[in-house]
Amino acid sequence: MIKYPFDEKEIRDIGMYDAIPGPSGPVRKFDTPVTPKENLMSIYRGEKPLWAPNLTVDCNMVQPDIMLDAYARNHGGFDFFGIEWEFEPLTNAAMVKPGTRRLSDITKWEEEIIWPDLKAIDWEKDYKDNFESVLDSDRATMFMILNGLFERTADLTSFADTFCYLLEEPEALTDFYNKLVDWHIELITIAKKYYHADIITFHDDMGTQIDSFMSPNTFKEIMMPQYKKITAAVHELGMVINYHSCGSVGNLIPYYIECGFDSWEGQDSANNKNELMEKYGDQLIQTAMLLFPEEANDEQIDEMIENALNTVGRTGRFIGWTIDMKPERVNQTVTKFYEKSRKLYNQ
Amino acid sequence: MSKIEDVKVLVETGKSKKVAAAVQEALDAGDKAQDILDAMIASMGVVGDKFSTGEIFVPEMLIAAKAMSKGVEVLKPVMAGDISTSLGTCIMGTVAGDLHDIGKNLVIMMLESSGFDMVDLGVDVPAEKFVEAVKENDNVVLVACSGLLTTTMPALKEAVQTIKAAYPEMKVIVGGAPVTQEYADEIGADGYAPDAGSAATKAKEMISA
Repeated sequence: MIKYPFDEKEIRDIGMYDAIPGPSGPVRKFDTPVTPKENLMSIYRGEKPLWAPNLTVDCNMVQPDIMLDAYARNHGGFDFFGIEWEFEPLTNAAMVKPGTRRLSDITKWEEEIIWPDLKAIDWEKDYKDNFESVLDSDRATMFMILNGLFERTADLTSFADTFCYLLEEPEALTDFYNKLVDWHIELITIAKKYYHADIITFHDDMGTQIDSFMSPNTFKEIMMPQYKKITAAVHELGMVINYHSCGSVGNLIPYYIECGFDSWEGQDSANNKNELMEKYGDQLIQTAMLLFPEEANDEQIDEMIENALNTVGRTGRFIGWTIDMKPERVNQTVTKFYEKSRKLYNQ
Repeated sequence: MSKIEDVKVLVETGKSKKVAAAVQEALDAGDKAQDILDAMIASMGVVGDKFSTGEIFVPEMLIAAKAMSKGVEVLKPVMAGDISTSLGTCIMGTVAGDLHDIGKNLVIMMLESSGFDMVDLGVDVPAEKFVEAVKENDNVVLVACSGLLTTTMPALKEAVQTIKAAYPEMKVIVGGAPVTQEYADEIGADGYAPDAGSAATKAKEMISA
């Protein structure tokens, strides 16, 4: 591998990336030896990157508000399937309004669900009006799909009923998922065609704080065949897929790999990510959030970054996502992350 | 296998469509309703333990609770007015500012299956509402407060302290993702459970102490 030793010039001020409607504010650029996109995608090709990619800086994160699921999740309101979400200021996110139910029973899905017509949305206009001028071609574009298969079923019915359907109504659930997956593949195709996505992030939380929601066998029987179709479609379109799946899901990781996911965005506080990296890192890249509390001082931030880079990050099979709760410090923390990982990866 | 044994197996394996008939068969065969109920409660104890040790998962626990509930429906008319079937009333809610209800609902199912009469206050419950519910309901032996967010942990503390100020002898159990035994001790709760399965065991322990 050609070494690119870190040069101080890389972190000089060369301007900012634009804010992108949705989750991404403006953030500083670095004078990188290869483009952030080349660096990030090299991990997915099985190569060691020149620095640990940071989604905050190296990615155009796209979550169009025209996609009702995204709007409802971020602001509250009704999603694609008519489910009402309530904004919760304490967590700065929305959740399904308690008591909401759009589907009386999974066995009635064919009669009761009104499928959103994705063709009725002017995606091209949305891209031109809101994204074309702000998506930087040096960065990889990540399109985020927030409501996964299991989560959608729970949103439409209730969590308790969805758990029961897994064991009591596997046929009806599978029929519903067959249709839901086709619908998702249509959305994924839109992400590629109109937003030029390189990466799909697909959300479906699969665990509580202490264990997976379902047994590995249930995941294998019910969820895996569906996810295989999704990952195959993503790969066929020339993209890669990042699976956001919170909860303690270490027991499901072998199945995530078998599903064909390229990376896993898991919850640090619920998993032993170092152990999982050692065991499965060669087969599954890990994406991890580094959340810097507002009150953290310089030493603490250095320690958090170094700890991540020297443990789960040391393999180079790691994508970071720095989130600083002190907005005026963001450029400083992303610079530290970039510089430290550049030096570490090119020793 | 005796009819009661059939009922036990059906509850433990969550066969909700078959339990009602099996309970009726047990009654027809001369088994006492109380014995059938005790057998189902024992089955749910096994289910709770298996969940706590990671042998089974949430779906298996839920279909067992659902099966138990179908069996209880058959027993209810037979046992009407028999207060010996209840361990007492438990008031439960998710604390103020917190809209999460999944964990709370799981705990309610497990406590109900263990023999408690449950009063569900829902989510986003102010501290005073727990106190009002204790006052308004008969035979309240336990209050359970759930909090899922680190940001609502102060509300959990307020709930516990408000309940304790009004009813110093009332047992209060707390739980939720960010809650620990240490935190439960710090805010003056009498008990803590890390999951729905152990919540049922802990709740029974607390009221018999």
